[in-house]
Amino acid sequence: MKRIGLRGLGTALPEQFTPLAELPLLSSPDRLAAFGFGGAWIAEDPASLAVRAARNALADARIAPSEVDVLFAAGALPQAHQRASEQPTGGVLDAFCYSASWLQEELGLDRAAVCGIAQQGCAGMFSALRAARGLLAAEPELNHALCVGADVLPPGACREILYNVISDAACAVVVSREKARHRWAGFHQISKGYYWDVPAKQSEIIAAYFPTARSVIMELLRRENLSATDVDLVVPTGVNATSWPILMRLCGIPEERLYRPRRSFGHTIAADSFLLLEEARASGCLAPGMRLLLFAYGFGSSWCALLLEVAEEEVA
Amino acid sequence: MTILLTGFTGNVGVEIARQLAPNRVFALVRDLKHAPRLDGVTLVKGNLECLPAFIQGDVEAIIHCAAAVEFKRSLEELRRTNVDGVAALLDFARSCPRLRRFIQVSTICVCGDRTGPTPEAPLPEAPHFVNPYEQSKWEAERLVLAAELPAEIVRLAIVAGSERDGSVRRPGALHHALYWLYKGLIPMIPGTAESRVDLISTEFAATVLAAALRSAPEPGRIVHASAGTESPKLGELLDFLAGFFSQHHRGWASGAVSRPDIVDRETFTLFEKSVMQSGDLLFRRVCDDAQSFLPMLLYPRTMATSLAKSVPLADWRTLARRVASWLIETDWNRKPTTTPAYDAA
Repeated sequence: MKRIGLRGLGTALPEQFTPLAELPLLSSPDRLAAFGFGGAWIAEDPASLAVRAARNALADARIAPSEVDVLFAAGALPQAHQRASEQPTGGVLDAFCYSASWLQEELGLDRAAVCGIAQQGCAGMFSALRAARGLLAAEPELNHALCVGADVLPPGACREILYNVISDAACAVVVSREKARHRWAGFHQISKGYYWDVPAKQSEIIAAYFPTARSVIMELLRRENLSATDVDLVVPTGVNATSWPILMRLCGIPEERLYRPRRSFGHTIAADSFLLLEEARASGCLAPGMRLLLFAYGFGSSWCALLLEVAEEEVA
Repeated sequence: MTILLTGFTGNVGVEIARQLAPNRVFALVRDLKHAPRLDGVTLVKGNLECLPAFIQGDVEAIIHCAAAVEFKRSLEELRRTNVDGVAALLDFARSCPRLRRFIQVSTICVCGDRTGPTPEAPLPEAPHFVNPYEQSKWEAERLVLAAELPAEIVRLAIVAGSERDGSVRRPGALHHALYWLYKGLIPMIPGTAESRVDLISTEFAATVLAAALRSAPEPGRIVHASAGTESPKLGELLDFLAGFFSQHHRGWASGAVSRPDIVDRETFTLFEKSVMQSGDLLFRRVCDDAQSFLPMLLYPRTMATSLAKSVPLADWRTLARRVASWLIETDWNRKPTTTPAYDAA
């Protein structure tokens, strides 16, 4: 069970990048630029992004679609879980066309069981990974789970949520029993239904963000018998760049252990952590034995922390 | 003894007047119509810029309790009341032929960023001040001590409210901070878990002042009306309040609202900077209120208490519970309470 981990990563960004000045926003572009945002990647359809990310992850894991045992498809928005019928009836049947099933068919995951992960906001991929890892641990006959997260805001939607500029993107991760690049070292999640009404409680959510984020990270480290200084690298998300140094200080993790992204893509709902993990790997920042901390907050509200260990072995 | 009391309508004025009985008290008030009535207290219309000369022949003691306590005001504004006002009152006192005592009500905040055990002594060198209010009160102390009058100073700790019923006549910086805390809008507090929050009740403050007046005159003496070593540490107080709030607020009860993290100055500054960059109006208000009160918690100190040791001190938990109850019940003094409010009547 200790060998279960992330074997392959894949991401996909749209082709269209729109600078801040041309985006529908609530705050001024200058203000959002101060938070580290340059603009947003905008797509029309999450499906093509999901397919691209999934194929990249399968290639990275060097497994065939037919080897995937389970597909978890995560989406924060309700429309991410629906696919338009090719022969719509105009009736209730149209609502049963699921994007996860379409994705299975499109990718040729013929042996995979399919499951959707919803209502986790930006923490959807974390929940998918947790479910995948739990399933592999519980059912020895399963070897590979593919987790795919894709979200695209509706056309013309405001691109700013709580001082974050939202990009469209997709990510995919193959969670496998063997040959993981990043071994699963621990996970902790705190969900607070008190904050379910996001518009009504947005100020309280902002206030709850830091203390709860610290709690979830410190509890994860405590469970794994680790101290804050045992974390070698924190892989951030694309949310407000000023928030990460604060969180690092709250947790007592040295600030220089925060991964500094080389490119800016805004906040992509589900894909940030994996875009940056992929980037960190490609840039040679990761070394065997390093402990990586990933953290995400999702409306709902859920705070998730994931601890990974960079494996010695490479994928065959 | 005939006493002139300023600040009668403030947070502790009425209780001081009550404690001064059976002395004759002239209470200086701006608005006779709306001032509380109390046996033995004669209301005198006036203010620090227009003092009632007609009572100068009678006054034997002055207790100067009036002050501008809005921490967010500029130093110039605060000086007008807290320094120029004191200067005017000292001039007035010099013309009181029977004057035997002048007691300046000050604040432990004059210690600014000083830490550790803090004696009941003058502060000849200005410390670094957390806010302009502290500076204005320190400047007032200097004036009083240099006045060549039989002047003494009583420095009050943080007056939380009545230990009898929790009522607060005028919610101040502490109560604003409690409001944001209760609403789950304070994510972090600058300080250390060991910082003491020196809370006292209205009654305790007034009793120490009355005791100072009753004791033999000691010109230049400084007394702390402080809970000293009996005051709670910041971590203890936050834990207690979290437990208390959980009985009244669903978010606290479920654990959704967390006790704020106690953070160092740098972390809090980063948070404030982030709030300012965002332009979030609500959080700006929270930070503004926090800025006026919370930074003093970065300087852990314990006030010496000589005279105050002889005065019964309510347990801080009882005081905190009663004040928090009253604030919640009255929605921070916005609606009437169902229990009799502490008042002069």
